[in-house]
Amino acid sequence: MATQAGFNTTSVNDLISGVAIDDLIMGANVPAHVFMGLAKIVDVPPGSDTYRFPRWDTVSVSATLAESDEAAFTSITTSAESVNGSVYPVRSFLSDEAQHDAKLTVEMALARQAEILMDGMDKNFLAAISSATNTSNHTGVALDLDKWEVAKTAIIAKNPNAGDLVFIGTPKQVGDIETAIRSNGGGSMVVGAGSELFNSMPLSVYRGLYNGVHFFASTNVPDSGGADASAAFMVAGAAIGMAFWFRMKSKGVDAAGRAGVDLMSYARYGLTIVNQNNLREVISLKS
Amino acid sequence: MKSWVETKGPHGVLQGVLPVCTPDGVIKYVRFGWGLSSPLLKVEIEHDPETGVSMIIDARLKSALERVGWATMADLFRADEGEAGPRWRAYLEWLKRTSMLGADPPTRRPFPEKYLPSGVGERRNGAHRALDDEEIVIPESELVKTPSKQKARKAGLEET
Repeated sequence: MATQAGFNTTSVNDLISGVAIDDLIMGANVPAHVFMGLAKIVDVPPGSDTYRFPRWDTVSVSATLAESDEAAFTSITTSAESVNGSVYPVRSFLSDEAQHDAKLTVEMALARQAEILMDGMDKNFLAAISSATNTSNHTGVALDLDKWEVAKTAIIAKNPNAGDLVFIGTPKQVGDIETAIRSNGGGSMVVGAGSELFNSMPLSVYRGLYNGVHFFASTNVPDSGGADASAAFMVAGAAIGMAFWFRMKSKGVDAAGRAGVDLMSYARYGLTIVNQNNLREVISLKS
Repeated sequence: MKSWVETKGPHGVLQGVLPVCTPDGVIKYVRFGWGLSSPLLKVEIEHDPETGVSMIIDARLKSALERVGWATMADLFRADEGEAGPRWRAYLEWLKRTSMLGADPPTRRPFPEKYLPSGVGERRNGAHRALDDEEIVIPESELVKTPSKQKARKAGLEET
């Protein structure tokens, strides 16, 4: 039967608006941030461009005191790591046209800039692992439970400070441990000691507890060479320090001569390893 | 010759990657920058206040680490083949092809072991171990053998 004249998408095309766009903009594909829970975060008071993280040195005293004798003096010393801050900016021009046509507000733009800044903080935090002096080297091979436990024992032997012991690796490095759990003991660990880690939510950066250690999986773990990455055991809040001169500032300037707003979000911070004995790098295949 | 390579960290901020070798022969790639301080290194970075451009002037291992066997890969290559030899140049080319320096797609191949400097192998063989790990040996002549009582009884030398 032939088409009928009347109201159709061609005849009344002027009434049809363009593409319908979801109001909820999905997030970028970046790992969830771990630095907020794992770093030793401090705020630097005004007056200095350098921040120092001190720690007590280990002192052994074993001499006894003979009767009527005088006690010898014991030297108590400290060590420290210092850090300078750097300003990390994210700057963008938000045009009036984009605000109107894309329904973008200044607040939305600044919130997106803040997310990008925190992505950078997370990458920088984990990049500090590359400066560890204690390293378990498994370059070119996948992790397994034996290698993981030897590394765990090695960090415990350094008498790390009290706190939650964390293992953070790439998804493959954590997955290697899951594979080992699945194949160990005829699969009995899947419902036994390894069940929390093995059955955790795979899309979550926090993967659960195994053998007293909290597992995190993040693609921000730094690469080491061609095919490896530097995973790490660390004591949460005691291995890598982040000193903030200011955490987040935002400013918007009406740009003279341009139709829009010049937006910038920025933070000033510095990072360093504050105690090498609270950190152990584990190098193995990353993917 | 520079012992480090430069890359862009988060937000395009200048960062350095300095390959080092530990006393045990582990090759590590130490990240550093103005806001990313490495306790392994002494770093000098200059900022030009007018242009806002940062430059890494120098980056080297702390001397306390060098004394116990740490070394930069640049120094190890230099010890074998002098300044900017072919293996060091190949190593720099390989670094630029890795994901550490943002190569896309990156290489997954390791740098060939046969081209690594001899200092790495020496460290892996224990040449720079801090501990004195020599086996304890007592000369045979100094060992006093205790006579066997059973043999003595058989020979009639001892009463049962």
